[in-house]
Amino acid sequence: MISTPEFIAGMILLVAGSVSVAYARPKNYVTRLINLEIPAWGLLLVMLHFNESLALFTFAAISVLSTYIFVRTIQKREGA
Amino acid sequence: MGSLGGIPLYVLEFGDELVYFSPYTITLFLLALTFTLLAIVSRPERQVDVAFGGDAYTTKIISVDEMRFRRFMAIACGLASMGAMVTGDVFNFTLFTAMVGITNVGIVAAVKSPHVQDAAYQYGLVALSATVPLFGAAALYAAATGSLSMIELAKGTLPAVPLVAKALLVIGVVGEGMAPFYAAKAEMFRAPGAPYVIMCSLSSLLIFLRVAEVVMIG
Amino acid sequence: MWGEYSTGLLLVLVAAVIGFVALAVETDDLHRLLLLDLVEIAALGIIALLGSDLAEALILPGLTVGIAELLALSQIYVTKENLKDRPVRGLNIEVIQKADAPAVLSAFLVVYGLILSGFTGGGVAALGLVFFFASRGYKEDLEMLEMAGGISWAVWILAFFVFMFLPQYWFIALMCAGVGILIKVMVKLSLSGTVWGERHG
Repeated sequence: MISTPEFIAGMILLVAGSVSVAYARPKNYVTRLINLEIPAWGLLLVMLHFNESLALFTFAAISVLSTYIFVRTIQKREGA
Repeated sequence: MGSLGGIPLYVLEFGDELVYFSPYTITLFLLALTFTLLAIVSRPERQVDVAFGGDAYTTKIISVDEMRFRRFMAIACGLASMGAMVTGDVFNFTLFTAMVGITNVGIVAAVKSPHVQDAAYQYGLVALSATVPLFGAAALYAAATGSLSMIELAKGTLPAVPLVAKALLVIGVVGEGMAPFYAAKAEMFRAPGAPYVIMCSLSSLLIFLRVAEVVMIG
Repeated sequence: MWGEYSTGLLLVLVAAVIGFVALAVETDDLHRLLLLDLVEIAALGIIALLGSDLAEALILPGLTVGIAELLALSQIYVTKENLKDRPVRGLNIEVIQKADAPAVLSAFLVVYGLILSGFTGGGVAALGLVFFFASRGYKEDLEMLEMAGGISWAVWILAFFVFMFLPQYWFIALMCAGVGILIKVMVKLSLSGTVWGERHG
């Protein structure tokens, strides 16, 4: 099985990122939100390996939007 | 092919994706269509307030204008279930199921009762996490057989679909609105606003009936 | 031992299971919403592993469904917890509010989005507009924008029907589809930047 570095790095980031989001220490909203970027990066690397460029761009754009929504909700919740 | 739901009577081709009518899917489609038309033409039911300690009651007539958004969501849910009933493509089916989940949340979202809103939120969480096995199942269908079309899968010329993919598809539909995840949906029913709320239960019933056919045919 | 697809599928499923286990243990609602984004990433990973053009065609609607549910659920969360009217202090950074940089950046992003066109272009252009609105705190009358977005979406669907039934007119259908989806996505995404409303403290 010969895989390019992107694929291996993407998979490692995906699994390690999932662990980091699931067990976020310190456990607050902002930590989880920032840690969500790690598996997202892993997914982007996997998409890069398969040359799925359209999906890559769209996922990046949607990720920006969902981060914005989360920040809004967290702001409303924590009152600042 | 076609011993399960009857021989397909008509297949409408939208390029690669097929809309496929067999006696089974036509029946389900007409059922969904009837309920959607009922949702369009019926007036919201009157809210009844009972005088405590006696038998007297007062009714409040709600105009259609107040319920406009919820009626729209109920119609959208009906359209989504109509689409899910006749689609011939596995991925279309999963998309329509996800849309049914979203519109169900939309039907009860405008209600002011905190209990109903809490139930709607929990139901939304379960429906959103149910999209994971749904999309995973569609991807496994495509990876194992190379085709997402139910007609192609039923012909038997492609490699068999792994049992895991079928199980994931059923789990996804169960998560959308069947027992044991039905609890939050049942709590959502306490929302005022029949007849639009009924669409929640009807849509998940129809989707479950269709997924039984999809899983057994493909 | 195994091929690339099988190993990749196993790892992504492990990530999904980790996410689901954490989701089951968690009790706070907003934490659950964040963990849902994680399992959504795992679902997209399963689809992306297909590696063909079909995977791209499957990922885009999956993303749309995910973001729609996220929008709906976050709004319900805010309403449920009675946080709707809580004023949120806007960005009080002087260089963003008063200087010219945000206008230049937004203009660049909008022009780049127009050139790219299509769904991606719409996203980039919307990002520029959202940034502009977030820095200046605009409260616009959005009815006209909504109508433009709706009409352009109908144009996009019409372009697809032209593709299917009148393929000899494919070029004009392509242009209509690209511009239609650009306008629609731009309007929708920039609306989400303004509707939340800000009060500059």
